[in-house]
Amino acid sequence: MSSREQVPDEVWSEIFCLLPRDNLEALSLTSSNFKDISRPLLFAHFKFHPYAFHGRQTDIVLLPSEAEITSSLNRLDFWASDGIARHVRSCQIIPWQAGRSELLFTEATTQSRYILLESFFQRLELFTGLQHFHGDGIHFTQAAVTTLCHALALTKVLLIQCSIADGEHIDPMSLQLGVSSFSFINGVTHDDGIGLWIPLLRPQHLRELHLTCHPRFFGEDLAAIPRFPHVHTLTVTANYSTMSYNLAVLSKFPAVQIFMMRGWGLVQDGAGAPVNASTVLPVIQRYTCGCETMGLFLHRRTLTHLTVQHCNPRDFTEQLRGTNNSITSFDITFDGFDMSVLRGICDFFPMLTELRIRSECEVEEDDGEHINDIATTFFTELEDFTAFQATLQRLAIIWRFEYIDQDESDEAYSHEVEIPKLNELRDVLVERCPGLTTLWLDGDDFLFHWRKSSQGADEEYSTVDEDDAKTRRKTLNDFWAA
Amino acid sequence: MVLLVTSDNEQFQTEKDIVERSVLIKNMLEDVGESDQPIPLPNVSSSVLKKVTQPSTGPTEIDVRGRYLSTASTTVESPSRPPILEQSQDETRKRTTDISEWDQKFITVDQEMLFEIILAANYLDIKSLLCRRWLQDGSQHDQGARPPEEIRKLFNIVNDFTPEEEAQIKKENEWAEDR
Repeated sequence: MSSREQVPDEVWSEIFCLLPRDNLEALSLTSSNFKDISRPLLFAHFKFHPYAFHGRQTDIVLLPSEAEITSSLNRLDFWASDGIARHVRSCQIIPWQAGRSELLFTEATTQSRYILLESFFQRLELFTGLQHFHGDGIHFTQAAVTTLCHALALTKVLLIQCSIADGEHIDPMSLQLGVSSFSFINGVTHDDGIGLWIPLLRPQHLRELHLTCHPRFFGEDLAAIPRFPHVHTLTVTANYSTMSYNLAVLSKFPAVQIFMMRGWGLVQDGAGAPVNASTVLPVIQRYTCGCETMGLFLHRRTLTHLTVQHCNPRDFTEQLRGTNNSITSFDITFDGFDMSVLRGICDFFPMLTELRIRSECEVEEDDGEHINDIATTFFTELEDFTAFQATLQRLAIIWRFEYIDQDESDEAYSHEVEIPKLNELRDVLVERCPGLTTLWLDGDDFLFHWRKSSQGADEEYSTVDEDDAKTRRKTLNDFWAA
Repeated sequence: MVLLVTSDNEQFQTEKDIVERSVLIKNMLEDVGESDQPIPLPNVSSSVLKKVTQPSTGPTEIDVRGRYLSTASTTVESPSRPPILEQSQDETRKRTTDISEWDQKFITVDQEMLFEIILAANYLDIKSLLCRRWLQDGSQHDQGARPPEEIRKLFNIVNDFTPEEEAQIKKENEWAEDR
């Protein structure tokens, strides 16, 4: 004999975890028992708006009406109340978008502008189970930073376009932010206060660090930068022309396995000489970079996954000398490519099991019909391409075209293109690469994907409809990650 | 095929890829390796296991990935499989409200069986797939949630709130949302 009482609360709780919000609200209204089970889920994530901005114009702080401010404060007090605050696991503090919100905003006075923000930080300590803090466009004071540092359960902090008020004293000797993940995203051309945050981080706790901000992120004094012995994932934005400085900073992260570097400028040391990265990031496994800095870690034996963002095929092939026997997964975005580039990739990476190539090119539009023969020709020629390694398991080739106005003197593309039979191409590829399990072939106007199943029917999709392809394309990341 | 033995000692031959949707059975199969050893399920009765693994009757709609779809698009004859065991957990999270004929049949089981199935699903570690569908009712409520009154009826719940308390919870739930 089973009854509702025999189903333990923990089981209900796990079931409730999978339900959308409106279902949880309905369940919370059925009985006090279901209310108690649904509350931790309904009140796990707190989103709060402390003021409003017009777009990214952050120098003028706007506030809603007095009544709306009072309502926001009442809501904040409810969330900070005894029965609710302990359920809060994450906070997102983000300004309203004036213009998109239904509320009306006016410019705040100097005295009142941070009334809601300060009220939030005054109550932050009540959220005793807070694990994630996400601040967007937040103006930090010493008091706010101190409160954040005292949130003991906090493991992850993400700060986007945040600033620290002028003249605030942040003392790294008395304050520490013991999080395992810290992300700071800001403009790269102005001083943004990252130098005040970095000394607060505890090197023994930190595992992930993402910095998209002013490049001299650790200050000029390299000797003063601590070692971060446990950081395994690192993202930085760097000025490539000061690469010696960048590499000296990177040498403080000896355990990094996943590294992403974005930046600008010519790759040089400070004095214009070539750089040598042979001793930094000794255990790097996955590297995401631009074409300019691909060479820094390309021949590292530990490197198995390489992702190169937007690249000219000529600049890319110039860097391929010899072979690379360690990289098994390669992902690149070109501005146009052809068979010879593909052959160069296959020759250079003989151990590849996973290859994803995206080609983005501009083509001239003839009369608005948006079709050309670049992708169809490529896929037709791919049937005779024999350079793929037999070890290849996953292949994606994606063509994206941007159509620009036709220059009358140029030849227009023909509409009469024949779309190759991609399921037949799949059969040819499987014959050449018996281990092939996953295929995604996207010609912009048509799309084919296939996944081998170990349990019977393979999964296959094919369309020559531009709109269907557009919809299906959105599933690429899920498909590829599965 | 895998041989399952229920608490009342009935034996069921079931396709491996179906039963592997249960995390518990999958782990057990990994433990016993390639042997034909029966998998004992001491917490699941035969009547419940039938409900969890029995095929639906008639045509089922399967998408190109071989997964179950209950919305009408392309109908093809397919091996009959219970949708519960066909969907991955992620898909269940994404898909909100489809109620198939199979589910509706399921919903009509008596309350005792309902709770037994929940407990069995918990034991077999496929509960996410089961219970979500019972709590939602897209067909009748325009893809919204089941109203509280219906949930009470479904699970035999006594409303222990005063009207004032109910009004207060509604107000607090509004505060839960982003504003």
